[in-house]
Amino acid sequence: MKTVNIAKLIGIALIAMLGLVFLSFSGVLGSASKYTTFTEAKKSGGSVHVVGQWVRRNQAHYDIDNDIFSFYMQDTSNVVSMVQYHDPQPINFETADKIVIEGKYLGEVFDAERILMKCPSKYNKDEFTIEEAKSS
Amino acid sequence: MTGGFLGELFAALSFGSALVSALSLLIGSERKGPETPGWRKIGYTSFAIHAFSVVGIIGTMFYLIASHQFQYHYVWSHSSSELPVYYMISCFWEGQEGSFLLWTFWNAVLGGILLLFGNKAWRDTVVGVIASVNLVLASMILGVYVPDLGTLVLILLVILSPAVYLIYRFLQKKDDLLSKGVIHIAGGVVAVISATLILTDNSGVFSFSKLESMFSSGGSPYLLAFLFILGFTILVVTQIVKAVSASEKKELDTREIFSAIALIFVGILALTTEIGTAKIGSSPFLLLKDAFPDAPIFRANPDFIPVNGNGLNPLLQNYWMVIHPPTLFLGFASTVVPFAFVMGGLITGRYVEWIRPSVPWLIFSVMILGIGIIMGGYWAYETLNFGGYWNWDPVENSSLVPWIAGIAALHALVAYRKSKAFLKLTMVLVSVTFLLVLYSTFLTRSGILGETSVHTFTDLGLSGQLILLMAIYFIWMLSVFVSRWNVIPSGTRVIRYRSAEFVLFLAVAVLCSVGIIITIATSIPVFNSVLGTNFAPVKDVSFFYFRWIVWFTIALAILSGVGQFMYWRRIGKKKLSSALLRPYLLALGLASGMIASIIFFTNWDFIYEPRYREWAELAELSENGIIKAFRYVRLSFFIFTDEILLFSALFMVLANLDVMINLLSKKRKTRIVTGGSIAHIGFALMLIGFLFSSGYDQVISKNVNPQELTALPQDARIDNVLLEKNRPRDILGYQVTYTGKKEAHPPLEDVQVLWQTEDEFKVSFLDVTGDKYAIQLPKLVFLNAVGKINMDFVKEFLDDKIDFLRPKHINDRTLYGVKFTPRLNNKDGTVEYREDNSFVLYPEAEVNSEMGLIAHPSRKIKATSDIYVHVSTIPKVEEEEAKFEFYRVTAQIGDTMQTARAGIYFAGITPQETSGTPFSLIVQVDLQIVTDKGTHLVANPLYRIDLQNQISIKDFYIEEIATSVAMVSIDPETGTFGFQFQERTNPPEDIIVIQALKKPYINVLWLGTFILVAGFVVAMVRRIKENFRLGGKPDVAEEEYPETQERAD
Repeated sequence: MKTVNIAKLIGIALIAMLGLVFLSFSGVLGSASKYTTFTEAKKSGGSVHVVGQWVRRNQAHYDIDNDIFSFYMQDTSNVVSMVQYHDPQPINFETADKIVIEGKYLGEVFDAERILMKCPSKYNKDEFTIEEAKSS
Repeated sequence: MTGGFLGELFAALSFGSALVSALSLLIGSERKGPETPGWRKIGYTSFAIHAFSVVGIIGTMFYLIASHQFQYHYVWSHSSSELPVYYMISCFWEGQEGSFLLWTFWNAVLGGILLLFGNKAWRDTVVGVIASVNLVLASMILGVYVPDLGTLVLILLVILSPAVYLIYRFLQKKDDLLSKGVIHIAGGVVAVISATLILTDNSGVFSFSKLESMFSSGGSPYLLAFLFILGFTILVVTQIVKAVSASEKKELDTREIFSAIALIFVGILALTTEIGTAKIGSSPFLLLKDAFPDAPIFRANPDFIPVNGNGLNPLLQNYWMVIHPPTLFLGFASTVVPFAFVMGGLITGRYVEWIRPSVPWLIFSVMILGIGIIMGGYWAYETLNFGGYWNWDPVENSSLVPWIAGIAALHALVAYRKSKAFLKLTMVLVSVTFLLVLYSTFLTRSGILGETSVHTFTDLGLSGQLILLMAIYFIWMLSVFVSRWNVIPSGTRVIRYRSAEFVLFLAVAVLCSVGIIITIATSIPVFNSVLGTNFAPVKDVSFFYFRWIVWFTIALAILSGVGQFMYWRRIGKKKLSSALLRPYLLALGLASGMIASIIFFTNWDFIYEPRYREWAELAELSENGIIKAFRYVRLSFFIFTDEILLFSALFMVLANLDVMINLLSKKRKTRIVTGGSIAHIGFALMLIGFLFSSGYDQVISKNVNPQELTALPQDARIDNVLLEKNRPRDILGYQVTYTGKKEAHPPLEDVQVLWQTEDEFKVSFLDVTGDKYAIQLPKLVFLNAVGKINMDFVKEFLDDKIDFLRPKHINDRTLYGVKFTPRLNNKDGTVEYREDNSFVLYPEAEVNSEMGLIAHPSRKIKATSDIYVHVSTIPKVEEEEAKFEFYRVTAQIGDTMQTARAGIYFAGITPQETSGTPFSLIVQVDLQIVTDKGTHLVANPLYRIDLQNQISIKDFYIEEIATSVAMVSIDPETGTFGFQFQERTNPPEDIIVIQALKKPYINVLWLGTFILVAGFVVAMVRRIKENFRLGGKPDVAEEEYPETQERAD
């Protein structure tokens, strides 16, 4: 009858688990890009996250026929780049005070796979305006 | 004012009573030997007071919300007058304070149940632990701001606790030569390390800067803290060394180790804490003017009370949000019970006995937590527009991980009961489940997730307290385990490979692996803030998790099938393989059939197919041979995952079904033990549901008009279609038509005032279809003689004018009608539209001034799939000034008149019954209209002549073509009729962009959920019965069922 010692079994499992922790760490951090700037993104050519703000005076445009939404974004180092996105204008886009885009450069245009909005939400209670309190 | 005061009183009472209860019960339970009725009495009574005061807090808060007392910050932030009662309940837990209260409440309920009906031998510790959790939770809603309290407490702790500790040691008079020697050696080592740490700066260079800062402003606690860490590190090290080196194994003193470790943490805390004001908790009874003392309005008018609140987040205005949070929190809260049993067992030396009474609780906990998680998913599916039920959002993950840990603990426990092995593992897993709940709380409430999650709570500055909450239980657990590790009985030391317990152990290991992966990937923001790194969250989340988890899931499915057979059936060497052959072959056949039918009869594509193609290209392009080989291996590893997952899930269903039938067909006695196999079947069905609904989901809102497609770039993802009102468009499998916004139609009912100011008020009402609308009106017009709003007049006015006012649905929502007509391509090339099977969906959208467009999807639930549609955008249409063209046309009956956008067929006239006024004639004109978009409409203008030959005309507005038509003359001699058209030359465009998805067999997922829960219920009932049957008698293992026994060697 083949048997196994429990202590040994748990030991092996722990070592395997440790290996897994290491692997998944490297997997997570390997696939996780760092927050970067447009200049670096263009240089690396790879897929990255860029944090910045929508340049409001250059209007955002949604090309309905081709399903491409494009706008200009200024990153944290104040570099402005055109960004395109293959979906309609995301919900909350106009009210976001900060946006995070995820993607890479295709030529001169940053091709965003995903846009994350950071919103000064009405439902965050850190600001209080009387106008809001008066009407619904 | 009084309401809030009462609430604060209850909050303080709940804090104090929890403190007393926890202390008395835990001290009482640590005492062995003679009974300690005094402690117990105090503990129970104060727990009752605690429970009462928690109910009191909740009652007060609900009263404040229900009576719209917007002078309170919490009420103002989370509620508004428009909210119906059931959403008032959900705004109760929208904020952090409310959800902490919810947790406290469940803990109080659980504690109450245990007090009243629980096992007497365990009551003290378990209720004591619950009280201690509630003590910390109660502190979260205290909302006390005391200047320098933190510093004060810190200094007191640092000065007093060593004194207390030394006295305690002195009284114990424990001294021997060995420990003295070890103390000196360990102390030396620690001193050298600490001195190095303190005498170097951050880059490792020798410097006095840290030392100097210790003596500068407020330096004394820092120096003391340092000495503190030094001293108690030495103590802990000695204790551990003593325990390991002692020849005779005995218990160490938990209290000593706990206090020593805790004191080290106090020291670290003292070193890192900034000295300043301290805030303990965040009170839900805070007044608005205290929350915003600088707001100009309060300086001008301290008694200002807003008329209306900020309202509940529209995404939360869904009935699932009424029941999902309480369920989830009950799941979270209940994990404390098994944890308390483990701790109690360890402290009181009942290392094995804790298991039986805690099993039903563990099952209850994972069951409720599971239900809560799925409810959250269902809510997301129904309300949010990301098109699914699971988004791998950190908040979702942090509720999933404790569940996985709980399931792992449950399986370890079953393995223990089967084999008397894995006792320590079980204890650790049960405790870790509870700790993970605390970690999850920290993640979602400290604001640390920030950018990575869409639905965390706002940071209330409670991070410190949350870390403290985690630290307390972590330290406590650690010290209890360390002090008892040596004396926990090891039980069976050797198990066979070919046994249920070995399979169970593998399952536990796999579950832990999944938990670890998810935890690591979710905790990136925590690593960033602790280590100061700058890693962005995982990209392409769903594929990331799929890639990392899918093979573990497959392993689980197969282990479950095999394990169940080993657990319940007598298996010799040959029998296992032959017994498993049946479900194996059946699953193989079924899976092949299903895959073949997917390939031949559907156009479904596995969701990650494009990614595999990318991988294939990547492999093709790589030049390095090894990398190329690796990439091909990776590709081949994943390319059949969906098929293998389907097979293994089917195997899991069939194998468990086999076992279940077997158990049911035997004696009645074994019926009750089917819980495990039922739960497994449910989980396997869920896996199949996940695979189909998420793996094979399909965007059907693809534009399939070939002329338009050719003009598009190849890589553009055309997942949305633009719909003009009443212009049908073809998408995959359907013809869709935007039929316009849903409008209110009279007669109206149930008109109610939502709120009023001095000059305006808002009413809600139900229209003829029962939909609820709301509109804001000026007050002056509707006042009666005594200055009140005349509701009859309001109703009359609305009934009459509703078509013109065109109010929105309640909460500013607009419902867009989208008609789906199934489209079939016949073999002969013709296209058939199945009008009789068509259905209309109403996706909702709300243009929120702060949050922009908020879209809520709408679904058609069919047996084999869900059709899911949401508005992705409402293009802004510039509203021009209306321009009209007037012209007159004469026609005879049977003529067709042509306008700019329609052909109008004059079908005839119908004289109407004239009621009341004789000698007058009313004629209804019947016009049939075909618009240029191909829609058919009917228009019925009226024409009236009375005795004095006075003619009055009622025109008819045809919205679709922005034209109104009236009959203006009748020439009886020639039989010609005169018509006048008023045609808008620039009609407003009404367009929306929608996305539609098809989710096949999502119902299997929900069905699986129900079966899983049913399995849990059966298992729980069995374990409860077992507890009652055995009472205080010693444990009986699974040998109760001899016919299922497997130990034949």
